[in-house]
Amino acid sequence: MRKFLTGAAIAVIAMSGAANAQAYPDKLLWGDTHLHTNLSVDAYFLQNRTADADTAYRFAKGKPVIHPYSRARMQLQTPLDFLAVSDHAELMGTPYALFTQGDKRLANTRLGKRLIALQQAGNDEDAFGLFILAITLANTPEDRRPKKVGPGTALLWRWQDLTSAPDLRARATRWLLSDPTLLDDLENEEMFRSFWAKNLDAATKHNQPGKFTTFAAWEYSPTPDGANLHRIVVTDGDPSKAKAYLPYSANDSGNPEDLWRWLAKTSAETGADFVSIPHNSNISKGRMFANVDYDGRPLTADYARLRANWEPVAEVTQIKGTSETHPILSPDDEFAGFEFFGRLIEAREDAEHDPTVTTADYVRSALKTGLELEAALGVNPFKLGMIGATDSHSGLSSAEENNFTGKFGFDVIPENKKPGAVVSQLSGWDMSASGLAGVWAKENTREEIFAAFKRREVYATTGPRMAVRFFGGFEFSDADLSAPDLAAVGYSKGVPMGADIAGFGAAPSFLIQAVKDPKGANLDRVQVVKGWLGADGKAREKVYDAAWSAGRERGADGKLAAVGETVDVPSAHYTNAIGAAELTTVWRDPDFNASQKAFYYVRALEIPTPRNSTYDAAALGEAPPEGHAPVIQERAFTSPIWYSPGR
Amino acid sequence: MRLSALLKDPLTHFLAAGALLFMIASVAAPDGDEAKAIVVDREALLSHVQFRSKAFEPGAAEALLDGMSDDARAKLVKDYVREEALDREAIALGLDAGDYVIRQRRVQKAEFLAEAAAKTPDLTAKEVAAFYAANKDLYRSPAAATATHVFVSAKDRSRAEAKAAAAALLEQLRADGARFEDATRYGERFLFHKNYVDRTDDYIRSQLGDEIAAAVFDPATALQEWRGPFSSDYGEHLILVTARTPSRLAPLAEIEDVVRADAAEERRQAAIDDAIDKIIARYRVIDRLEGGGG
Repeated sequence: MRKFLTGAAIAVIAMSGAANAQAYPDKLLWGDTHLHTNLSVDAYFLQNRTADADTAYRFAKGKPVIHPYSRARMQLQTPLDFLAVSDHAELMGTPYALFTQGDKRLANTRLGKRLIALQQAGNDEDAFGLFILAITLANTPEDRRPKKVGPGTALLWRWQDLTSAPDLRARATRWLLSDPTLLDDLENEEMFRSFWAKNLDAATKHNQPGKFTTFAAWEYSPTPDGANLHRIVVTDGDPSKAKAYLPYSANDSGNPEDLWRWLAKTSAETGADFVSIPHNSNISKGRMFANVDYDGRPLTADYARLRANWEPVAEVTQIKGTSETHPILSPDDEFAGFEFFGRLIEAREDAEHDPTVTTADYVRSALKTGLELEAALGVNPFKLGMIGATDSHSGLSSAEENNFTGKFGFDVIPENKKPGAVVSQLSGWDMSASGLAGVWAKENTREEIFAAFKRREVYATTGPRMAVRFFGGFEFSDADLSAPDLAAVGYSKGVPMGADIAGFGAAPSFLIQAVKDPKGANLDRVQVVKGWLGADGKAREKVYDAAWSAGRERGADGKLAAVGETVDVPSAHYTNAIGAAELTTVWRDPDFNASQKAFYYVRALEIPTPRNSTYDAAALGEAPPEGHAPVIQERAFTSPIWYSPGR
Repeated sequence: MRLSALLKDPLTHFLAAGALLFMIASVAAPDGDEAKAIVVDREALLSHVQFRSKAFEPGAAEALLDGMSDDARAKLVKDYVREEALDREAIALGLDAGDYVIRQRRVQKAEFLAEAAAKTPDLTAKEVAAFYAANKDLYRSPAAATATHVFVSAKDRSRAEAKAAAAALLEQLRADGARFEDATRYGERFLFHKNYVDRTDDYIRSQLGDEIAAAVFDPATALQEWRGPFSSDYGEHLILVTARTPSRLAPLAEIEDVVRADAAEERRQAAIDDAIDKIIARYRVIDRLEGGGG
């Protein structure tokens, strides 16, 4: 397309924006807002006894650290720019205090003694089970908890235990159920405060404006009836100021509305701002993005306003799968089938373990539901930007497919990932080496990154660091693609990802640029995902191929030929012989209807590369595990741009 | 394996105690052997109080014992006698034999002994300095450079054409006296960055390739001078390097606390390993595996 130009002709002088290089976010920062250390109950039991916040921050900065389970030296290939250590608020630090520190405030309680006994008997798993049960029961409203049993029943149970083969788990469970006051044994506010302070101090110590940013953060983890309603809460404030409060937990209330109200109150009291980031809607049993509230009542405008205010962004991809969409919900999307997660967080053996697939379980559907609710309520409760995060529990944030340390401590050893090797219900290979948050900011500071989350100028990737720009406006033209600085054009003529455009009849145009991960795979294609509100009040969706690597055309059916594949599965090796290093385009919606509300987001696909399980298989000299694609197409999802008709 | 858990359960205690007492009564009653004497003295009670409360503070235990009412003391004595009798009986019946929990507990206790003996040492300044000298790589920050570049794409033209265009552009940059901040006015858009400020070799190499990274970090590449063309996978580049920061070893004075902690931890770990090695050395290991376990 471009003719040969002389050197002089290339010296384009078109620097309208040169003087204000800082006028727009020109830095792409990479980070993780969801990471657990040994202070999270599950992380501790599943073999992260030692990797604390200090370890987590050092690892994220690219320093070598010792793995908490294998004790091998681990190092990220490319350091992160920011990290939020976000331990579960529920009983934060309690197993660490009980087992590692032998803290007498816990060790001398009835439940503490029982847990130590189980652990010393080599029954870690049972101790963990009892712990989780304690959390679950504490989350259950008192009127629904089992009542304390009478002395006769208790004696009968004891007698059965003595006369039949001892089942420690069953005994411990019954014992705990027999006396609800036991749950109070692990609640120690003074201790909770000291562990919260420990994470905050580590965040303060590791924050280096301009180089590396830390956040005060935690995970709010209600799982009512096995439905994951978890949120990561991130604050913008100085971590030392977060010592003024204790993280709001599922023990305070399992209803997310109560969390948002608490955020509003705490924000007013302390001056701190917050974002609450829902994650793993894919295992929420149809509840995360439902059109009813926690108690099953239809949503109100007040609910929508409250939610939209605190939840501008959703975590769409992480180790426990990708929640963008599902083939059942998006049957016409040939790339919808990507990294599912097949099991609910459910400790009860007799309960349902299979996740549901409803419009409330996936983010693309939620964006559509948001349009429908907005029409009814006047406010869109699901106006969500998208990010990825790891949810690693080993203290080590790694989303690199070939350098993935797994979800739990023991997952660092490939043999441990075999089905049934450590945990019976799940294998380490069910875990996805994902994801990361890309943030467009002016500089690497807490204020800048937090502001980008608030305005949704952030996006998700499943691990690779592809740079994606997405602007919407009404004036973009193909000539803009040869500008020396695409972003300068994007910001001057339009709005970036996460923002709104309003039209007066003219069709919008979108400036899109996707650049490969400098150390990773080439790109297959860039797509635009559109959702719109039909005249019947129902939202619909369509996926468009917007730009792709050279040498392919759309077929008669409108479908673009596959990019091909260079992966050698036995050696877990691929080459960049196919695909493109950069894809740019100005895209226009061929089906645009000026009167219909809509959202648009970009999905950028890499060429096929080996999945994390394929690297393990190569190391073990075995065939890749059954049930997982040996090769995947990693991807990025941008936050949407919303279109509404002007008046 | 399950015994210790059972024994920690108070109700189990109660029921098991009933059963065992019955056995003791029937089996051991006639025997008046001196070995079966349970001596209740102050020392035994103090020890018992401390184990029960898991608070090993002899002073507090003495105060507690001295302050006890007669009833409370009688209960304590009864409690102690019961525990002692049951423990001896369990040993006599061989209930501790072949119990893996007890074995693990013993191993753990021995490990604790070794760990406790290996207290975190107070190191002298000289020792800290020696550790620093031996482990400098731990405290080294990587080399970095600041450079900008002007890019001519080889996407829609041949490599030779790109090189020729870049060579012409180099003349122009030099003639114009273009500075770092002027670089954005020249050349074509590069897919990654225009400016690389204080970036490591690894970072620059991943985006601009080996040839350019080598040129940027080569001390022979003069600063503040346009050089090139150099090739990357994407085209031809003219580079202007404005600063190179060599790999820096943080001086000991700057990071002494960190080094001291690292050195002390290493010393402590080594002491634990030594102590355990010494214990192992007191045993003769007879290896009957095929090939001697080479």
